Amino acid sequence: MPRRPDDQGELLKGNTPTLILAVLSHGPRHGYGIAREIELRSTGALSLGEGSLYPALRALEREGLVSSSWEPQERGPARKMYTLTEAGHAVLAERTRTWKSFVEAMESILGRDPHAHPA
Amino acid sequence: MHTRLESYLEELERPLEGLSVDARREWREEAQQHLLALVEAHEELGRTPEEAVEAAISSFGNAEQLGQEMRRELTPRAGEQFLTGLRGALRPWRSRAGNPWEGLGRAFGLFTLPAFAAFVAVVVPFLHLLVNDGPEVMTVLTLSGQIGYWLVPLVGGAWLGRWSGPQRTEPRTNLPGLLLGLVGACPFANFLRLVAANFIRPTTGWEYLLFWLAHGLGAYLLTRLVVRGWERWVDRKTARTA
Repeated sequence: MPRRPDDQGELLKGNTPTLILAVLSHGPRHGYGIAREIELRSTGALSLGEGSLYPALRALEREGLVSSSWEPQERGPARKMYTLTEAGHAVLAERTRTWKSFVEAMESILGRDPHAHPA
Repeated sequence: MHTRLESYLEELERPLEGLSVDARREWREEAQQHLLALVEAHEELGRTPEEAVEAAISSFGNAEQLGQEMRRELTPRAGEQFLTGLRGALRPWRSRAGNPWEGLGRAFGLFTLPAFAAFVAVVVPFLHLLVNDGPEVMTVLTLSGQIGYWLVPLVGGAWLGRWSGPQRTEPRTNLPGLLLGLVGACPFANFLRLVAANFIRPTTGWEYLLFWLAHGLGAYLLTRLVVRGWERWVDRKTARTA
């Protein structure tokens, strides 16, 4: 699994709640499933410290953006499943808009050739 | 389970000491399932069981730091604790109050709130008598006092008692718990009130409310003391017999 550069760590930590919301917008998952999905969708570029998921999940639950329940499994013990709430969907939509406009702004600066003269 | 995994889970749980038993158990179970899934995934990649356990623990993170983060998230704010206690007043002993705010919420929900509601229910219909300051005023106030200071602690104590003792899992038929709750709450609470009445003489509405709050808290704590003492005594006796 590819290692992320160290300077991505803080950026990733700050955005962990948004990543969790995004994963849960596709359906309920347990903690392990959320971690795998983030890794899978980012093709390994975003690999969270597995444990760091849980404080973020508790914070999201406290804010009412995520709900959880213990669900029995066909095989093995019950697992705690997390589901995005209505409020969670709304917050995710808002954060997605904010993120896109931020990326566009950054792109317009970083993507510009610094040596190019204005026409 | 692998002993290394067991000791890691112990480390993860240690910073949560003092929080509710339910919260700690949930966190441990959730972390354990996640770690076992990680171990399985690493074993599928061809690692030995020992290597897989180490890899899983390493990717889960520093136990002490993670435990502290979880503690921050799981520690409820004072207001939340109070509300949890208020909700818990309906099932007082199934999950015990883990902190002072929760205990205060339970005392408020079981004793103070019903006492205040009883006062309002008795006094409001006779407000015109109170305004006229007639001879019936004392009767109405005495009646509301009897309900607030005797009936409410009796009912609250009985409710607490049903959820305690060796038969606490069967609150509907828990007669010993119910009786002890009755005995524990009401007489003690009133003894406390009579003592307190020598020093505090409420005159305004706020003072009465504070007095009731103290009365409710006293009733709750004393009942808890009596019933917990009984539970421990029974547990010790059972352990000796075993």
